[in-house]
Amino acid sequence: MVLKKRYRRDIRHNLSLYVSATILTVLALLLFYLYDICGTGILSYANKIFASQKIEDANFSTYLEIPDREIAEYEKKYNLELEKQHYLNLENDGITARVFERNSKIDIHYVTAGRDATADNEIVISEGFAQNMGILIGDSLEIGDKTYTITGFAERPDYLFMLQNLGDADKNISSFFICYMTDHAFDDLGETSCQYFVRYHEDNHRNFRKDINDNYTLRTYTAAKDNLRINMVTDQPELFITMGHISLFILPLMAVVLISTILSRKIRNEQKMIGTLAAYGYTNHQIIRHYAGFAAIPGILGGILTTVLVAILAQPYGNLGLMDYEPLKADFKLHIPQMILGIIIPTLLLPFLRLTGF
Amino acid sequence: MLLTISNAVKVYGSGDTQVHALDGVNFSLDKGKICVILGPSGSGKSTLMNMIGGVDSLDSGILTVDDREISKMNKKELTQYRKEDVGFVFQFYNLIDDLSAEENIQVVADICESPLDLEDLMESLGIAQLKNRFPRELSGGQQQRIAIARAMVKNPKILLCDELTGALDSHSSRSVLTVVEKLNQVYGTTVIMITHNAAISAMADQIVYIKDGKISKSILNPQKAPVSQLDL
Repeated sequence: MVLKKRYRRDIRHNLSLYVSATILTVLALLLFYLYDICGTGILSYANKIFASQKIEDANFSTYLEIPDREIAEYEKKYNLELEKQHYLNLENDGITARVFERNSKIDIHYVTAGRDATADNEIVISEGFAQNMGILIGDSLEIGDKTYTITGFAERPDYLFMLQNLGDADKNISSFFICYMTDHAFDDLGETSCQYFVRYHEDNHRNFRKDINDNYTLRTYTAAKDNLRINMVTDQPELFITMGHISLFILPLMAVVLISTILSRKIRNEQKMIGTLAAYGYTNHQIIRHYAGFAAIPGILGGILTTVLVAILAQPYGNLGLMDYEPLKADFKLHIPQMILGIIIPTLLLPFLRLTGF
Repeated sequence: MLLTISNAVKVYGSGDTQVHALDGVNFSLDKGKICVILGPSGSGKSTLMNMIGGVDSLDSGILTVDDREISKMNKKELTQYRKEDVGFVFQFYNLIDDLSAEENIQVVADICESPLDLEDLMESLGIAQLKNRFPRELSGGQQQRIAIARAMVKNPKILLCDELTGALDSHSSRSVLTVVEKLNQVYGTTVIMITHNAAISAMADQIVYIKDGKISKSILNPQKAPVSQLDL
């Protein structure tokens, strides 16, 4: 169809307009991709870690310590997993180290770089603090009255968002970190505090809590859904994904408003052409398809350009969304459904908005 | 008869602002004839042309073209009718600025089932040398001849011309009317021309006078003259 020649010629005659519209589309898509890649990448990583490292359903502390022999009985009685963990906070020069006893059932730590501590003078620490303070594997760090060598970095699933206290609003990676050492080294540290972690296999948390409270007097109880250290790692990415989808529709709307303002004179001329084409027997469908093409060009160009760019730069691009968390080893990729959305939505939305009179 | 119109009525608006654009129009036209419709502004000439061209529909009355009742067609059928059987030529040409002369004609050829040969058509209209030129590079007369070629490429049953020479000087008008005359002779195309210019009526086989939405007079022209003799 000879009408298609108008596309190339119109681009040549109105290059700045098409470039502007394409740039606007690219900016809209970059925002969509940033939110979506970050959101899906972080959520995917979090869900993987939560599953493999056995994230808690709740944690609690009591006034009376639950004897070790009772742990197994509670597990059997209420069909759950229960683990006691000792820890202590040691402060040096205004920096607090929360040293955890090694555990094996719930909220299990894992090494993300280097190796785990095997000697009594070795530790692994949280990587966010290390990066922030310029600390490297192999450096020494004073905890309490002893000096340890850092052999690696570690994470635990309930500290991916590094809050020192559950009531804090923001992460603290300048004066707080978590660490693990050998069991023997931990035992030498002195008096510790105690907390418990639970994973339910059936919905009987009320009965379990009542039982614990009756026998050992609950001091604190925090469900995972109320634990900001945990829900920040799922809620924020989910919000990112929602914001990404919103920006995919809202920002092209802004682009169309700008384009339509500039095009108003062209639109008046084109109305005469539309009438002429209709008089000559072009169907509404053919006319709509022809004019939709003009608006679709920046959508297609912008969509393809941005998708290719982001596909190549997905990892560094996605890392931008990790600012609130520990340095997660999340894998950021542009998945096919995201690519399809990123190309199709602007391609269809821009013409739809133009033709419906926005 | 190629075209028959009986008691055609078309009303626009409602209440106090109602306008009877066509108020019981009756006329007919033989195949292969040139018909000129004369009338003052607001008389209903363009409305009548729109009805014949299938651009709009009558409120009542019957309109048949080549034994097909156009007045009963739905939108899809009217589009098909316009595509195959009707060619429009507008006062201000309505060419597409970013297509060349040849491409403007091709736009219509692209959707026809059996278009005329483009090169032959352009040759016969004396515009073959303009084929790669764009409308902004052409005079009014040249643009109008291309517009006529665009209308003719589908070899329509009826060529509808709305103020064909309204934007042209006398010299260009004569060359454009000569083209229409030639098309009528060579292809046997039935031509209906709407105009204010009574001088053009001399080239017509039938002259229709319309006023206030009614045909006031419809006569066969006993002294049809060639375009070369028109006093434009």
